[in-house]
Amino acid sequence: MLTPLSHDDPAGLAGFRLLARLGHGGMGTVYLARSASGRTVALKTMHPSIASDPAARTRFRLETDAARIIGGHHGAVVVDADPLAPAPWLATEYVLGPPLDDAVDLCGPLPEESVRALGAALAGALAQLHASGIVHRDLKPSNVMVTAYGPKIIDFGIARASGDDRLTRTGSAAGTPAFMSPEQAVGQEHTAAGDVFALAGVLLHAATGHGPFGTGQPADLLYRVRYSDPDLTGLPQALAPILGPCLAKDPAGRPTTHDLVARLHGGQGHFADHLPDALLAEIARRASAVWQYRPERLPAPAGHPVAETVPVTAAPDLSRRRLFNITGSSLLATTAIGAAVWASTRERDPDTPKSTDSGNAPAALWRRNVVTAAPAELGRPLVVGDKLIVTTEAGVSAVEASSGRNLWSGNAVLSSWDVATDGERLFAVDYSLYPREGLHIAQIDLEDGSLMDPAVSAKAYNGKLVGNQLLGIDGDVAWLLTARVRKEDTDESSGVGPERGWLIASFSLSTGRRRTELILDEAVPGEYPWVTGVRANGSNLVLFFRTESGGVDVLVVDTRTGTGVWRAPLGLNADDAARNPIAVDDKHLYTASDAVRARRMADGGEAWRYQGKNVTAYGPPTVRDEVVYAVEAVGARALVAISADTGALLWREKNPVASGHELKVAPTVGDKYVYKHCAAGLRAIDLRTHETAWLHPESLDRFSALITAGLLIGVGEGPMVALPLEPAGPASS
Amino acid sequence: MERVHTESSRPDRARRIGPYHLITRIDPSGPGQPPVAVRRFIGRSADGDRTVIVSAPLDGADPGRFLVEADAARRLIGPWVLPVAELAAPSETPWYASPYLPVLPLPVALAVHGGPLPERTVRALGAALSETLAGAHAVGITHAGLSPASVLLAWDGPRLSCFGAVRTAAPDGERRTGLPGLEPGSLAPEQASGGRPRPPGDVYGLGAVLAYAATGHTVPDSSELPPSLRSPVTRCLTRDAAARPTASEVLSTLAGAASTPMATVLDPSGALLGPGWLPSRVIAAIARQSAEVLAAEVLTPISRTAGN
Repeated sequence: MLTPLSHDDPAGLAGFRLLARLGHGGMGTVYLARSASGRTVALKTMHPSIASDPAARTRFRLETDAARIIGGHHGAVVVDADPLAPAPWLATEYVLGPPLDDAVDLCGPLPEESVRALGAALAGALAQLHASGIVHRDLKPSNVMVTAYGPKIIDFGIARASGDDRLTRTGSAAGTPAFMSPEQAVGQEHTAAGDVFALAGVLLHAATGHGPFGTGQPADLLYRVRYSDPDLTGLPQALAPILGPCLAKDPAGRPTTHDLVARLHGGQGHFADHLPDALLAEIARRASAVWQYRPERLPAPAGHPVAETVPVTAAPDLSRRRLFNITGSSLLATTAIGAAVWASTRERDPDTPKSTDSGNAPAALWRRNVVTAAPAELGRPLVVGDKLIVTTEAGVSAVEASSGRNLWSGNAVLSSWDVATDGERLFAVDYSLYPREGLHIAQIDLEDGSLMDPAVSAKAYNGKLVGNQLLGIDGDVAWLLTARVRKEDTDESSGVGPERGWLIASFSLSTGRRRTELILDEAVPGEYPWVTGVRANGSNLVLFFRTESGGVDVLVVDTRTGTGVWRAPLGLNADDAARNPIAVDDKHLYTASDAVRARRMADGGEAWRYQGKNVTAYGPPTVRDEVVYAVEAVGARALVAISADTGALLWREKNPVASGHELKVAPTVGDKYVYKHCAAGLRAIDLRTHETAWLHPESLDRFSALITAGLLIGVGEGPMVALPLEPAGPASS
Repeated sequence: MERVHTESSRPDRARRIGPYHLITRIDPSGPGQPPVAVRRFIGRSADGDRTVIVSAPLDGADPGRFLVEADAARRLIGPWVLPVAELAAPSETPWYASPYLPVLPLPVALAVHGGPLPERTVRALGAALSETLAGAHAVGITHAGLSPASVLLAWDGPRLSCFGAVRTAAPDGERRTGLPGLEPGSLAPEQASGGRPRPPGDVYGLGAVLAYAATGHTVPDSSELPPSLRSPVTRCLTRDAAARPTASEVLSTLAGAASTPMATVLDPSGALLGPGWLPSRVIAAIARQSAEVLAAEVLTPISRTAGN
């Protein structure tokens, strides 16, 4: 809750201006604060008197490390920190949602559906933490913030690295008795299984409003934690067999976080879909209240020596030197470092038991958040050399593929349909950059995002049309969806669009001349032909158009002559089709709906159709090296590999794990594995053994394989994640 | 619908409108999006203290008429109005600004939700908007700008924006069909043919907005509408202005049909806007936007020195 600053709070701290108090305790104070660049953060500070204790300082540093490792998906994004300052501080994102204990107080016990979604997400978060060699040790309802996109674990005040006994030696009585594990209660090692015990207590509290061992004096609680059966009163019947075993006194008898993820929740829908209205309203209220809060400061008591009020808007305190400084874009720098730490701690800990969760999954090389104010606008990242080009609501930005580092951004004039690449160069079409007449295509300087002089300037075409799309770059040729300038178009008219005359034109980038022009005949007044996918292959350009009804039409264009070869409706949903690259090779176009189909590139006729026994639907296909891959959308959701030439089944995934999610993402094919998207995350299926090699437990809805950079890039609702493309699985290492 | 463009001919990283550095656009641009009467952005002052929704005219719009309407919009008050708090000086390129609140334009809310909004949401939206219009009409103000994109959804209710878009697009007496920024289905026939905007035109726009919220487009077949909304919406969309209900009649139809123990004379739509009035994914998108704008940084010389 936002409360006014006290009269003796400083105006600024570590370069942040303080706006409000978020919390206050024996260790220090948490403020709502703002950086000089306008970023609003939660700033946690430790009293200098407490920071003089080396153990407390160590805890603060470990908390900072743990917060970096858990990252912004399951925790609060770390913006900056200085654990070595006289008054150590940690700046994280201000999390928009109530702590779980407040949520239960406010909304009453949560419905089973909410508890399951929370539990699955928290178990996933713990799995990630444990895989990095960190145990939380103080999971309790007040340390779980419930946001609209999932819970975030905060406050790693006593988290520590496994096997790190520096804190134990100080004899600190860590943990909260009500949610403490029996082994923690007797001062023994609290392992990952201890966090599972605490998680069950937290979920029990969410579902019933009471903890597993009631309330009372710490000594009584500790006794009950060790000897009493947990109180499961009020727990929905179906949850008892899941949470009960987590509260076993013997750590070895508890399920793993991975088991919990699978048993609690199938992964359908968005997290917010599972929350009760009252809780959603509270989240929304908090998300809005932070903008309506006006900074103020309580007056000093009468006669107080510092009664002169310091204005909150005073210049930021820049004099304090940050010893642990991170320059540049804080978000990227910190997440990159977090990922590096995560990766290295994993390597140090090769004995992570296979049964615990993600097991052999490779650690993400980096992750970053992507601004997606309008999800529909976000395309797949483009791969240009060693860079990723990401188009978001804020425009086009470039990210270094190997590190996730932001290279440049903010070219907000461009949308995803304004840019295209040949893999080496990036081009853009946009009238707004050129207040001249006509249509212009220019190369974007990959070093800084600026536009070079136009390679093509065509006065006969209307560059102001909103529906213009740069479809693709194929060698020297740029393909465009555009229209000619009409007489009545003036410089002032903004591009509402011609009523007739949309066309597919191609231009030579070296000479700037127009090569070909193909007039499209679907000119619906006020409608734009909307190309949702393009793939050039050999002698053809394959275009997917969104139809008025939300379906997809395919148009195949001869790249030499620019003439249409054939056009046909496909039984696909345009939004779903737009997520995936078009599956096409020299001979066929492959689609999947009720069956996997191959159409001849030459004339659109059906070459073959594959439908497994009792399988009525398939997810989108991928083709590579004469093999078509698709996932059965019913039953066990097995991956099938089909001969691209004949349509004969080559192999079917062994021991598939059933999951009930919607299949919208095509598999991605590497040299060793096929990567399949499933409810639990990304599953790598070995191309030799045909079974799962590892699972990356993070649900992401778009994947781009970046073979050259050795990376697999996934884009989810928030994060973009880079995984090593062909990590050595257990079978080959 | 309008594409964003810079004020200079060169791409400028530190893009600004008035004193505000732009963080992001409010409206998605591109094919398939209903037109928006203004270019809207989330912006932030250089000192980072003020975050605003800043609006600027479309290319080619008359800057004088734009400023006149922005100024007049300050007379439109009520809880469901996006207030115009700041206005460009007459010598500047025109813009106006409102304090930032996390909001989604109605078309974005439909996109996020995955289709038409639930009847409960549409009804609450209709009550809040008709309440606002009834108040304006009572003091002789005609909004003249209702369209799907003019309705912003905040967590606690709508915020009506784009005041005077019809009058800005073309002066009275000129045909207004096919003008940029005007959503054809939301434009009352008498206004399209050049008539001076009057309250019945707002009611027509309200009908189009509710139709859009309930079906995804502004000119629905009446069978597409939920039965309970069919009559009020189609009556609002009557071509004959005289046959349309007044805004207060729409309000009593929408707010009266629900059991509203909490509704009062002063707050007739309050009960409809309680928890659950927005679908979960719309709430989630509002929260996400808030988090992203909180995290947004505006690069200024100050922040560069702060890193040293």
